[in-house]
Amino acid sequence: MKHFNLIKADFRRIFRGKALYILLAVSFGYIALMTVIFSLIRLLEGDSETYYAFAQTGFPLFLFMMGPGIVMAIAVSIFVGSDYSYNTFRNKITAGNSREKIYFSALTLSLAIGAIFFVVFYAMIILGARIAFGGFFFHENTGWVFLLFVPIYVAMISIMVFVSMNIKSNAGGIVINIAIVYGLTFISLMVSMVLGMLNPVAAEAILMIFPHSIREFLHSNMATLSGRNVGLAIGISFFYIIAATVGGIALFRRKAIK
Amino acid sequence: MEKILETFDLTKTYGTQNAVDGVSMTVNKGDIYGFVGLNGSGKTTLIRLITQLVRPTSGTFKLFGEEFKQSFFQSVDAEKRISSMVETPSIYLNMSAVDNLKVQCTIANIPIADNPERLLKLVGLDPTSKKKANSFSLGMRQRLGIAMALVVEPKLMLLDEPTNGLDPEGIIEIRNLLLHLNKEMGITILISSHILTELSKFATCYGFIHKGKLLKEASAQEVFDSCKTVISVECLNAQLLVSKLEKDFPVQLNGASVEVQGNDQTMSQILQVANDNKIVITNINKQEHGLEDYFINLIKSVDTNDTI
Repeated sequence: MKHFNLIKADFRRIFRGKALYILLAVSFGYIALMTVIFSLIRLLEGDSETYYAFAQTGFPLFLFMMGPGIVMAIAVSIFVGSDYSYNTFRNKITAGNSREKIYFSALTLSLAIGAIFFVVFYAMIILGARIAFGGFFFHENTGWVFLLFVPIYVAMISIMVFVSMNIKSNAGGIVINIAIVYGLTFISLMVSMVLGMLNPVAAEAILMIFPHSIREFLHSNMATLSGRNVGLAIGISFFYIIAATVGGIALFRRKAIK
Repeated sequence: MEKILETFDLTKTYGTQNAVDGVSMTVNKGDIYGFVGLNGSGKTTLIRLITQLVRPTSGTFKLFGEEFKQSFFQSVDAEKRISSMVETPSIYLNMSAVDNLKVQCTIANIPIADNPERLLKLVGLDPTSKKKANSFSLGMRQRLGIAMALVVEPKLMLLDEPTNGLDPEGIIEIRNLLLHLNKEMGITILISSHILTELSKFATCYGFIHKGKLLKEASAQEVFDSCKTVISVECLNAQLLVSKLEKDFPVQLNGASVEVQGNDQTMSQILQVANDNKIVITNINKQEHGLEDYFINLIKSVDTNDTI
């Protein structure tokens, strides 16, 4: 178990701290609030067509504003960045841990936290949707979409770890990581629009690698979940994972620790 | 004497500036090595180089007689462990002292057992306290930082300004703790500081660094021997006093006053000579030139040579 000492130490401090529980409570509170608001609208409006149109755009839109990606961006920046703010990276280095090991430990910790938020957030969304609308209003292939989210989130967290391990400012890390969540979505939409004219399959795949694309929530067109573009989306995710991790380690190895 | 740390032409360059410039130094087993330099002279950078927080531009160093290996920082070989506290203590401020030490034990692969409680008692902190480190005073944080460094039971500790910002009581406590670690636990200590009067109370040898260059290494005895006590005497017949004293003391006439190098007994001897020869003394005072003067003179001579 010697090689897992850092991961063990990181988990010990995360679970001892308050930040994780505060972020979980905020996530829970936000979705609960959305559920209450939409339930009230339904109560007032009834099962009208206007209501359903509103629910199908409004609910996803609010989820998009603070999806698990945003919470993950904050969590990763806080937990990884705390080693900079407390200057505790040097404890790890002078205790004989290589910088690669420190990086992988931070990545493992971030993925584990990402998994916690992923499960909690989507479980609450599904539950919230059941309460507010009487059921999760997406399509029959939603399960597959969620599975596809796994490599996508791993890619996103890998990029966030890359940022947090190489930016000393905690606040800066949070801002950049949130910008990445929104920025990549925007860029992907742009790239997808351009690519769409040349290669529709690649365009769909690029669009799919960003789970915050409102489109995923708004449309139930499962034609996009074809084998080719799912494969391409996974491939692009793995490219991000490898590029971010290799690049992140290379930069962190050269970094002067205060 | 067993060499614990040797650096060979160690250099760290930032841009065009040499923060550490070809430093070759030696720390022997059992030393309390006082690393003396002005702010920005390269003390911290050198410690950071040895602890691998930054990489050297050139040069090497040996620890325990061997080329540097990452394992020196690990708990594998009990005889070859080192630890450090660089500038401010690295502690999780949102955790208690015990939790900080538990995390550090895990990071260093040391069984937790009763280690945290034992180390906290050793550094004089309450092991039962649940207080978070963010409510600690600076002195308590420094002591916790030292406890963190002691987790691996090091044979060499590198401490960068451990008394910085402490009140006099805190300084004395840290000094006594370091003396205990050195004398009772056999830990060799390299300590950097610019509070030279404090350092001179317990360092066994010194390394003087200025503008990134190691100017000199000397034992505490050598420094002590070089530090002069000068007694300045003003009297009515200075010439006569000089002639009477010059047989026994290094003496010189400086304007109207006679300057005599000596020690604590010299003053009474001068008074005796003056009395025997009926020389009327109008003023007499003693100036002690300690480590501070030694260091200032050393850097002045270097700066003067640089200017020339």
